[in-house]
Amino acid sequence: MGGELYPKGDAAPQFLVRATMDPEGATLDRIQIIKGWINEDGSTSEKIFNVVWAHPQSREVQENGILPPVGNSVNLTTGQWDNAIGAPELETLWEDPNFNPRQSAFYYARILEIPTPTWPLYDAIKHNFELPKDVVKVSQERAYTSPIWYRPNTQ
Amino acid sequence: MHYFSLLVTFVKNEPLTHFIFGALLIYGYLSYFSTTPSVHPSDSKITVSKPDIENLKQSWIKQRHSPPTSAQLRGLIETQISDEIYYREALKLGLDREDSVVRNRMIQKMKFLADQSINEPSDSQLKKWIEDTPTKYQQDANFSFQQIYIGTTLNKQSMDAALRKLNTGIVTEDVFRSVWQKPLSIPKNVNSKSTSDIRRIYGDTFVKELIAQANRGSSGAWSSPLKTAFGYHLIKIDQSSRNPLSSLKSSQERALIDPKTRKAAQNDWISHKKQEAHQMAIQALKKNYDINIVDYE
Repeated sequence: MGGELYPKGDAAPQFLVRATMDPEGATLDRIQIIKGWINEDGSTSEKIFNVVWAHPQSREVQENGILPPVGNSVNLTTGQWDNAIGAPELETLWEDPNFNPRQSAFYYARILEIPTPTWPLYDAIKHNFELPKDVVKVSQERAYTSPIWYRPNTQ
Repeated sequence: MHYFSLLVTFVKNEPLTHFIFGALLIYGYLSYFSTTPSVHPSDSKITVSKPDIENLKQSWIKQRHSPPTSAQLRGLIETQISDEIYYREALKLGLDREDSVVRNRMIQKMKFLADQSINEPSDSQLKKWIEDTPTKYQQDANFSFQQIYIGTTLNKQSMDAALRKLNTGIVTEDVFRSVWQKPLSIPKNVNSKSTSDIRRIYGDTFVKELIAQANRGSSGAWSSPLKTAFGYHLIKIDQSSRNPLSSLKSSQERALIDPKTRKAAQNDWISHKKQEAHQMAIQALKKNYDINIVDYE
């Protein structure tokens, strides 16, 4: 994880990414690559790319750039979930479609699991009390990689 | 004569007397070897003796690896004197009362006294301890196996066909591909790994199945599909150190000899005995107190 990239002409970088589920945990929803860069005026920008996801036959990126959710198999009374949704492993080769060889940029990957209970939900089930409506009961755990930096000035 | 033997029996068996005897031993030992004699706070005499100065020198050398200069030694002595003055003045003001740190330290020292009667267990004591909790000290089994990951769904027909081929020794790429839906990046061949290593990659269900198969004596043949969180797998055990015929007894003997499990069992036995000693001491001492608890709940 992590590292530095230097220009190779105008060629856009390609990233090979793979994530495997925790055998005791939840399956994976999707892998995203987040790109950040510095604009001409010195301001910074970020963009999230969904690069590979579970159930690609039934899920497509919408026009607004949003990928439909993977679903939610969490049982709010038992705190269990079903790994029938999601994928045990995801991998892909992705090329930056917005590459500008003269822009400093970073890329890092973010992997999302299918929804699983949060700790408040586990506590509520164990001690048998009701949670207030605004408490988050279900969330998607994430893993992050170290960033890869693109340096436009050749060393 | 009769009363005397009664008294001896009483002293031998009563936990409180063990406790007090142990406490007296420790107190005697500490008093004899301590260079800071217990003082009455109103005592205005402070003595810095030869052993005191030698101790200061030795502590310095331990930390700095060279002896103190005469100026440094003078400084150490001055600090020792001012500390002693502060201590006695603090005692006069009763600063040791109402201090939670002092209180906890004293509680700790009492528990320490109760611990003193516990020594390392004998071989026979250790053996009995391991026998009483057999699963805790069981050695980790080793497995060498092959696994084929099928995928998240099962096609029974292609599965049965593939299994037949595999079990007649036709272990080719084609047969694998006939059951593969999608490869998984976990190793297909595993050579002599412990169950804890295997559990980390393949999960607990997988390990349980390996152990069950070894116990059934099904090593050497491809199993029917096993479901883990990843999906379905076919497994074949090539070698396992978990011989189903090995007795529980010999596994316990191995636990006694292996230094790691022996140390773990020893530590568990000692902390268990210490807990027992604490409970006995408190039970005995409680009799001297009139305890009142207000109504709660």
